[in-house]
Amino acid sequence: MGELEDEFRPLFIEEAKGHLERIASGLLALESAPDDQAAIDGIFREAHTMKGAAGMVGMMRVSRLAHRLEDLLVELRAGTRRSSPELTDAMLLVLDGMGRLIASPSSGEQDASDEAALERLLPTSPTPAVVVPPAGPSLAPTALEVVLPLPTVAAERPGSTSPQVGRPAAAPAVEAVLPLPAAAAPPPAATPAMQVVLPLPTAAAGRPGSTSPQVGRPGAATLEVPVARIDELNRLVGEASAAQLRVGHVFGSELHLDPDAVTEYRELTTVINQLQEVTERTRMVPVGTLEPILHRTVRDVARAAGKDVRWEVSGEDVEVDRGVLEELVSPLLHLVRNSVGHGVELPDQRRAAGKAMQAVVGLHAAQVGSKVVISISDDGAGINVAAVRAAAAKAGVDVSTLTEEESLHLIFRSGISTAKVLTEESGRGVGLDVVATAVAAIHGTVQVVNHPGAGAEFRIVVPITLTVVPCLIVSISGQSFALPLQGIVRMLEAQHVQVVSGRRLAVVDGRAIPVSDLAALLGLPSAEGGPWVLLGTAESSHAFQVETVLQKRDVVVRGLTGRLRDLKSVSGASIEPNGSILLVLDVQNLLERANSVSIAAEVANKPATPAPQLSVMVVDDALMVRELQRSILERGGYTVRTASDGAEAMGMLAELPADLVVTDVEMPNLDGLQLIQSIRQHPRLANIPVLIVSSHGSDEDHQRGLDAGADAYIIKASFDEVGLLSAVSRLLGRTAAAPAHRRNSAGAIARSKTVRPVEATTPRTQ
Amino acid sequence: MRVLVLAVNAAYFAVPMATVLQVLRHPVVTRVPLSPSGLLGVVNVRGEIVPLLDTGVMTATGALSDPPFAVLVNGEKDVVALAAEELPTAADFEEPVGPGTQPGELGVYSHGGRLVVLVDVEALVKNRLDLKWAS
Repeated sequence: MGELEDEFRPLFIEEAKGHLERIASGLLALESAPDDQAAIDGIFREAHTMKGAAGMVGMMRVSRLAHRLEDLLVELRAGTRRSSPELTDAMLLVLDGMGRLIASPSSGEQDASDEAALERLLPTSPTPAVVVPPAGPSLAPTALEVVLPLPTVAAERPGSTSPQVGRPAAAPAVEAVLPLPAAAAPPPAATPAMQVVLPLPTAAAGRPGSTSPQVGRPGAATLEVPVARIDELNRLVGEASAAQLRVGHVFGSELHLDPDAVTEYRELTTVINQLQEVTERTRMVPVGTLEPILHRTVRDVARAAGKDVRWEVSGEDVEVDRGVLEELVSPLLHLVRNSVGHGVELPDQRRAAGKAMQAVVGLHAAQVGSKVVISISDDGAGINVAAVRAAAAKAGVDVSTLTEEESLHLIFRSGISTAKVLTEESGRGVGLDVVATAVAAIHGTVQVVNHPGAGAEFRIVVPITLTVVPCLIVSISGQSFALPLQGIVRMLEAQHVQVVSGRRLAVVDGRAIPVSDLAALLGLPSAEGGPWVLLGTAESSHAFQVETVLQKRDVVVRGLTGRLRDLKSVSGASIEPNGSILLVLDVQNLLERANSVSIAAEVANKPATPAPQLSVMVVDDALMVRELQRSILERGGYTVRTASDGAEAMGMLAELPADLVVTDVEMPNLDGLQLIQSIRQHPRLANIPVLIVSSHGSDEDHQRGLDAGADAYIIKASFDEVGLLSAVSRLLGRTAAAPAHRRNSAGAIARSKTVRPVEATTPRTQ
Repeated sequence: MRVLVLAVNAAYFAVPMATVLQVLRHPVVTRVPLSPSGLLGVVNVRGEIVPLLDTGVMTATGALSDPPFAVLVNGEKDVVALAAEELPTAADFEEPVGPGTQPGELGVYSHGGRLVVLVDVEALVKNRLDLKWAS
């Protein structure tokens, strides 16, 4: 073998897995659409490419078999041969054999013998050969290949639709995007079982992760990359992000600069954020990645058992962490074998039962919050629960008190010889304990829904160790947390709460629902007020008061590992673009905890916090603005109350004065200017400093604010946390020693009538 | 034996250098609600979420709040970060001057005029920290 062959053989081996899988998928698709010329053309192209590439790396046996497949495909395309189950059997078996030859290219006599045996499987004349399928299901696809999108535009490769990997002449162009494996790449046996195939970037690439996986699409622009390299890329990006944070810290601590004020630093932040998002998504693979191997298994088992089964798939685009998907291969194979082998009936039996002779076995995937549900269903006879009970009783299980549901779940118990009983009794459950154990190992569960006479559905529910979950981001005690939208009924403003039999209840939509302070529930310092988030279901919800609702967005969630797995209140976490960690709260755990914690315990759970010295009244008719300002001010150590207009604010201030008022101008009932005038005219409130935060930014607006008696003016367009806290601090700094209401209550100090100059973003005081 | 010496609440303890992966300066700590007192929070280390253990609680010298340093060490199950109040220093230990008196303490050594307790991190975690994480 020449040096060139040595160099490119490992790459061919990886690439060939994709060719074999796509050819197999195409052949299966051809069974249901034998005249699909486009499908035939696609398969032909794959076989042709493989033939050439195999020849170039010296795998002549593989090349010759690919050539034989090519010949058959030419006949199919020309119409001189028709697709048939027997022909598909033969071609699939040859593909399996080619896979073995590629995986173990010993070039010895055994290979020659294998090649000859494989060659004999294929028909040589226009008359299709009859091939007896193997007695049991052939699970030949030994390597799981993952095809997933690379969602960013890194570079364009003009005019290229296929990377032509394996052809030396094309290698430099491919290498320009991602480096090709070096000549010293590990031998086939050492390469990872799972490969990631990344579509080459195109200028038309859309939102990251939004493209369909295009599994098996002939001609898709992809480049195979070892998983280890993707992992390394993820690690390095994480390291770059951490280093960037450290640089930012040095800016502040050593140079006394706000890093975000430095353009170059901001640009670096943006790029690293984008890079991190992209690399995070490379770990996600669509469930549909497993479809070919499952489809093949369904077909092989059905053929061997003489059953007519249609394979249906939905939700194949749902993405999960590839580590999870790897662990699901075996359980899902087990379930589809069970469904086809033991679940669905023979055609005659189905006809006798009044069913369509062709059975349906399906794969369905859906993302539910931080979980993925993957179900294998069939329209067979369902599970014979009586047989399950009998088997369990025989194994020594006391079934006398078990409900139907509990009896059904006995199929997952290891001590019951399901194979012996269920198969004989037209039930099933061969090795379901193994399935349950495998799924439990990745913190998942298996559920079964039985429809006697009409079929059964096995649902595997697994956590997504790393996935994109739509979340509501809320602030609690100044810390951000994510709540998966899946568990949220809706948000609303705080309602009137009554204590009934030791429980805090509020009437929402005509129904009394329990209310909890989320901060107190989590053992964090809590603030008064704040919007509510209803968790649970529409029928049974629980309101949780949070400090602020920040935003709604997708969060790339990863499961916690090691000893952190035991933290019950947190279901996962996300590394935010700025490197910080966003915790994802476990909604179910929150609900359970809230239901079990009494008010007294909740109060006792509140950590002792020193009472803030100064209070601020925030007045704005926009909830979001109020909550934003509240959040900022509370982080600054102030006690905050809010009002939605001037009238409400005056009422609250009259009852309990504040040390400072932050108000909008445009508001219903009593606007900001009228509020200031009312404050100035009130004997107890006249000396309270007032800060206007308004979208009106003209000189006339400023003057009107001054004339009304405002002390400072901030334009919303240039509003930020630092500006607000700075303004509030400066205004309260004058009064901190003697808070306004206390001075006024003493009746000794009258507010100065001197007009205070006002500027756009920060207050200017005398 | 090559060790890394950590300062915590004016006391000193050491971990075998072979277990040390990295020293972090100014770790950005995310607090975890309802976690045991021994868990100061979690930190992002090159994209991995790592528990930051309160060495003050581990050594029974008093809980820490905002440690300026964290030492990444290989635990039995996973990588953990240990809070430190000063920049940790490397040292070579030879013979102990006294035995450890608590589970997880491997011995007492003299280093630079100070007495330093060499610890087995996993054993300390098992014996000193409340690792029955709150639910």
